[in-house]
Amino acid sequence: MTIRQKLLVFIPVLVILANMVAFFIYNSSTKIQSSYHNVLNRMMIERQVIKVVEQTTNELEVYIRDRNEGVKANYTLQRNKLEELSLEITKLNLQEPIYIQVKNLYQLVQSYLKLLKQIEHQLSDPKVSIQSIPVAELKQNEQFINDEASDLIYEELNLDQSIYDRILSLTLELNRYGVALFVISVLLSLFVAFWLTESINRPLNKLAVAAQAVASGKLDYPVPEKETNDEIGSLYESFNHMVQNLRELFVKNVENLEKDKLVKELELKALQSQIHPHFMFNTLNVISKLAYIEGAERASELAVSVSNLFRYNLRRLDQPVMLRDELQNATEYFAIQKARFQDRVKLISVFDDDALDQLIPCLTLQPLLENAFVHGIESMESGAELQLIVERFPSFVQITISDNGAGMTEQVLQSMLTLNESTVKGFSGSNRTRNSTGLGTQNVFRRLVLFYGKDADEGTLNRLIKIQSAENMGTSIILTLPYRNKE
Amino acid sequence: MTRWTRLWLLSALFLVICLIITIVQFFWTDKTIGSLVSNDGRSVVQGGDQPHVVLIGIDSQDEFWNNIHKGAFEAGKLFGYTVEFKDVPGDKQEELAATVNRYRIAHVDAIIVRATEGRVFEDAVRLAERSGIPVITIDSDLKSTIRSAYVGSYQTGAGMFLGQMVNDSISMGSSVGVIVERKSSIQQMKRLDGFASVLAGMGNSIADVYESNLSIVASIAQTERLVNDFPNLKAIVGLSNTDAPAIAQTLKRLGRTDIKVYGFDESPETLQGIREGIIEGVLVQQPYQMGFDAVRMISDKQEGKLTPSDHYTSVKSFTKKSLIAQEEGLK
Repeated sequence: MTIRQKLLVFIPVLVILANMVAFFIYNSSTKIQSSYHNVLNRMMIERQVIKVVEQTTNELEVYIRDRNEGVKANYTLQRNKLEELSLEITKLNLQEPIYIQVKNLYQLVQSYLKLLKQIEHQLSDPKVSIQSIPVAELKQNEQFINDEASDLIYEELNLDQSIYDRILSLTLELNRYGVALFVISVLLSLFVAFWLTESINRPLNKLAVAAQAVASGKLDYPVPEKETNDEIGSLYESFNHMVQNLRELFVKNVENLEKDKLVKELELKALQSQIHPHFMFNTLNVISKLAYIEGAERASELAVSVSNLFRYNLRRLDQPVMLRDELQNATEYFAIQKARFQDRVKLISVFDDDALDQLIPCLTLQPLLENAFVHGIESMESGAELQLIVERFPSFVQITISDNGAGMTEQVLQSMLTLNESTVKGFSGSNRTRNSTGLGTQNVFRRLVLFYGKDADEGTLNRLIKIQSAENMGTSIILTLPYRNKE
Repeated sequence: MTRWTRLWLLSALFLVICLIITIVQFFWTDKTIGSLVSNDGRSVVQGGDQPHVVLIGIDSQDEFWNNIHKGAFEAGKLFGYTVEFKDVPGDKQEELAATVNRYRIAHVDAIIVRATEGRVFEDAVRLAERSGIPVITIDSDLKSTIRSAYVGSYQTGAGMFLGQMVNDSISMGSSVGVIVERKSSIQQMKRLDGFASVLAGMGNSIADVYESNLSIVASIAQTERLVNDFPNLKAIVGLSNTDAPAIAQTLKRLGRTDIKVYGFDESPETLQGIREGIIEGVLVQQPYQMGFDAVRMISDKQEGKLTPSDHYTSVKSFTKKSLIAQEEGLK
């Protein structure tokens, strides 16, 4: 049974139980009350007979004395009242042993009424002598009614005595049962309440202890077995499942940590084995000077270019630079490549001077040029041409890097223009041919998007970067950058 | 299941059982009260249209009258009469007459009454008879024959019977004291007449006649008076049913057990007195028979049968000897 069902069943049961007790006691006391009322009512009727007969006699005497319609009306009213009352007497239950007396009373009242009729008849004759009216007989009759009714009331009381003694003792008994019922139902309620709270509390406590243990890191704490099929039971199941997952996750985590540690160590070793780049850069400068002194001017220039490239690459990559510097760097890079490719390659660069203040992420152009070399021009025997065009438009700067090399398939083109992590990872990953900066085109694109766009999504990407390519015709990458300068 | 859970379940079960038992008890008591209350514990009369006879006696608590009631009640059941019992204590004729009048006006079908003397009472009887309600006197009769019938002992005869019993146990020429209920009571006087005549026949005499008025205290006082006034009494006779035990106990207290005691009618005290030997003998009437016969006579009258105007019930004597014989006979 679920907790909800338990509550839904037991709370109404307890409420009904408590109310039942109250209702029982109320009901029986109502019964007793109505019985008192009945007996009282009987006696009231009997008492009423005495009173009304007395009043009727009085009214009759007044009527005999005054003989006018007013008093006659009073008298008639009383007589009618008595007639109604005599009907009431017939409605009284005929009960042993007093029913004979009720009958007597009825007969006496009837005789009285008969006598009244006779007197009325006599009175309707104005010549009748008052002496012939049987007033004495009427009075005697009244006395008899009085006696009989009094006897009857006495008998009713007498009779009721024994019954009421019994009712009283039964009522006391009933009250005792009522109290017992109350006490038992209270005890039962307490029992059920304890049981209910216990059935909820105990497993919850157990779970809490287990949860606390797990929270404090004791993952090997024995998982409690679920005892019930209620909500707490399912909580147990979830908890156990969670602990299970936590254990697995923990094991994996430990593995990962170990892996990371190893990688870190390796990296450290790799760094230790690396030559300090500044040393390289100083050495290059010395080589340049030496070459110049010895008359190898071109070698000296190349050494300077390489030196400049190193210096540029050594700066902080997270700081934006002026387009001017970026172009300078691109030119240095081209100079180095030129030394390698000689006359096989030609650079056509057109710079709009207004655009040179444009802020741009560091190392944007060099990887793109490198890309053009690697994928476009490297395989060409001769006539390779690179174009680097910078144009200033009112709100943006357009940079076009184009080659007339091998070009790209549609598939490669599409893959370049996606931002998802796996591809980003892929470009920076080792499966790619490492280039000089260690940065792939996608890394560049991603940084551009992050730098210029509000949202790092495909829409921003497509707005900023366009790639046109055809196989054996060449590729052009067009960057449309919103104008931004230091101010 | 742990021990604790089992204990818990058992106590819960026990409570539930207690609850059920209490509820059942409660309902049972409630139902009993309900049935008591529904008609106030009174059985409703079946056939309340039976003819209605009223028996006007003295005191329902009295052994003698109680037996009359029983007889009348049984006869009523047998012949289809509702018998109402009405006590009029004392013997004021006005009160008795008023009661008779009341029942006449209440249109009862017959009146059985212990008669008393006086014009007022006689008038009431006469009125009842005139309005077609038969009046039957019981135990005590009227002088005149205005009533329909008398049912009871032949009082003169009963007095003579008692006289015979006394004569048999005392020597000739003895003097005997008498206590009566009232000298004005016809019934008592009839008994006394019979008694005196038989006593005189054997040369014995009545010292004096004192009244007890059906009061035990008066009986004791009158006994003391008789013993004081007439030290030579051989016997004291009580003519009403309460006298004999009072006389016997008084004589015993006074140490005059030589005086023999005679009385009327049986009561537990009287029978005890006979067994002890302090009461010599009593004359026992048949109250049950009186009651029964009175109602039967009314039934006979209604059916048009001829009925005697005097219906005497038998009397018998009770002495120590006859009492022992009777008890042995029962064994």
